Amino acid sequence: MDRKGFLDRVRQATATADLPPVRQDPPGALIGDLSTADLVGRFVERATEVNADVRVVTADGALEQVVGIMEEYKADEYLGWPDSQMPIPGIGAGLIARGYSPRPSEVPSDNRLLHQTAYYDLVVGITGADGGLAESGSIVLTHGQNRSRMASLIPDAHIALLAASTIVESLSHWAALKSESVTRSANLVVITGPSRTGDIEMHLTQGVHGPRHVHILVLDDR
Amino acid sequence: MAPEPITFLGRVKRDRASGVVTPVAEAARRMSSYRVAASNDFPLMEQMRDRAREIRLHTLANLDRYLAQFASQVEANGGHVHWAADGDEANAIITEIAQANEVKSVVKSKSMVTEEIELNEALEQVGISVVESDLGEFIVQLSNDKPSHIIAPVLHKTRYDIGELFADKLDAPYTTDPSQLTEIARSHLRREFLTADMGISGCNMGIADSGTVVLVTNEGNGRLTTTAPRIHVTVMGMERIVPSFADASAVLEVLARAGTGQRLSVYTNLVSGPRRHGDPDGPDAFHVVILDNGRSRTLSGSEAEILACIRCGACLNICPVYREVGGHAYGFTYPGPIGAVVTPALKGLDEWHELPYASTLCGACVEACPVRIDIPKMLLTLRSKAVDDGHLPGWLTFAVGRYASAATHPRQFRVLLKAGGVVGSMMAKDGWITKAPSHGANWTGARDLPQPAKTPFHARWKQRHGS
Repeated sequence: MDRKGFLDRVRQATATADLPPVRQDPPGALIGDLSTADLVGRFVERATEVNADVRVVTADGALEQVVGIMEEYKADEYLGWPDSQMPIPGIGAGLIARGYSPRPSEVPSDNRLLHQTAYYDLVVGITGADGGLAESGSIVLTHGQNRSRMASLIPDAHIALLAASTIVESLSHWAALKSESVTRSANLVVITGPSRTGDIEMHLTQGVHGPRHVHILVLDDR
Repeated sequence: MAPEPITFLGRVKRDRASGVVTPVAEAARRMSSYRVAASNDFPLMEQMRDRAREIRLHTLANLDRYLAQFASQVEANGGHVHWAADGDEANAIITEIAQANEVKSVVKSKSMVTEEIELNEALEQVGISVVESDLGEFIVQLSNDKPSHIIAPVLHKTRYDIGELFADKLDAPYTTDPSQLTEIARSHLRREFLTADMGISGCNMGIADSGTVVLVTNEGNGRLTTTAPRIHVTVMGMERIVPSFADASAVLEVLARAGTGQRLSVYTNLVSGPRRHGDPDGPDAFHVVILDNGRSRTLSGSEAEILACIRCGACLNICPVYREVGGHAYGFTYPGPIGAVVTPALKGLDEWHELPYASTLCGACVEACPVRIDIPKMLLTLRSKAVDDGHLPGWLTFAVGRYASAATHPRQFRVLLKAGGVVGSMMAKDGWITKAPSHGANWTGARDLPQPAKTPFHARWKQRHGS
């Protein structure tokens, strides 16, 4: 069907639709009182509740934490975002200096399959986050140049670096304050804990397709 | 496979006999309790439900305008928009996209709308392999089954069923441990994801002012489907629109809470077109197929409000009928109270006039619905339409006709009452009728009928008061 024919049919339908009275303007986000005095504390509490591992770090201590996690997974390479995209400086450079190697994140259009099947054995991905949502313990990632989507999706473990100053109260707050984050990039994802399923007898299992483990390092920059 | 019973009661009998409904009640009860806990935990829940409802209704009332805006924005983002009047058109469009791009393999993330139009069958017919990636849908596909719940497709299967299925179909070692079963599916599906030519997803919401498709999943299959393959196709029911990201946020705040009791699902994935210049990964092409398939007809009438549904599954979980009969009894993609309205609304009452009766009208669904859709009201309207259309069994038409005549003729009424008392007493044992003949068995098959009084109330009143 063509666009005009389709939309004409919809227009005619709305004319006779039996709907309760509706508001004239789009209602938008609801920003209510969530009484979150301590945003970082609430974020840590809620992210921990959904089985993320959350650590509040200083700029100097962050690298040691990342190295510790790399050792935990016996990983010597990772897929990640470059330092220019990270809210905590010097992590990539520090890892390389210690002998860890970043995997190329560019998936060429003409050689997609070969590049992607090389991701099979990937264990660790390291990304930044644009912000955090205290109420749900979520992190928000926008993707784009130098910001691999796969890094937070394919590996067994995802390490996310987040600046405490970018944590807002809830998704509604984020959507009201940062609506441009959707248009700025082709992909935005809100991540709330590790991948999970309850499909088999409602038994909670972590790590179906996405990462089994999520580690969030919160830089205390307040 | 035995042919699908054509009546609701036939399907109920089949599924209760085979035992597939046994796990449903407990699972539905648990999901309902998660919803209640999550709602109590969120101080803004009631206000947020009102807001989400206002957003959905506002959008429906202005749907043509928002759809036009959405389509223009998708195109501005570099995507392609297709308009499908029905399922056949949608399937033809998607097949054409696949064939034009030499697609051999498709990976799908969970989508009710593609179940509705039977897309998998259409693609397989032209030799394209299709793999479902949601764990539940993967199990449904392997066992050649149908989903029984809109967000938990294999609610009706036990870990033993799934263990046997994986051992049989995937050559996996037999296990009944859900974690190990999940691991088997994960490693099997990983190859499919990373090598598929095309990813097909549904759509929880389309954001009009940015041309964005919102996909909500817990497993990550929605993200993989929209990231790894070179082409991403979204199939969207035309009512899934909201005006802006801010509006979408209010719906997202209630969606997971009502469905699974989570504050947010694990992945809320917002896709605005194909990968952009310089993006390291993501699909090279992005298509949205906007589907009508009975929706504009539904919108034009008394069931318009059902299109506000956000597909959380809360009404299924709370419904006493769904808990007893399971999802397959409803006979189509959408089970439970929502299905009892959506199926006849989309597909017409001729074939589906029984479904509005698959409800006790208790109203639990309205209380559970995050956008407060008045499902019982619509069920009543549909029942009345079904009667107007002549879809009442002959014996019932006769019985109601007799009753109408008796109720307006007092003498006839008294004679019938008396006759009922006599016949009833003859059938009763110890004060109860446990086995009524003919259509009366519909009642006594499930519960006993108290014996009617030998002397009707009328007669006793007359004896005592003399007039």
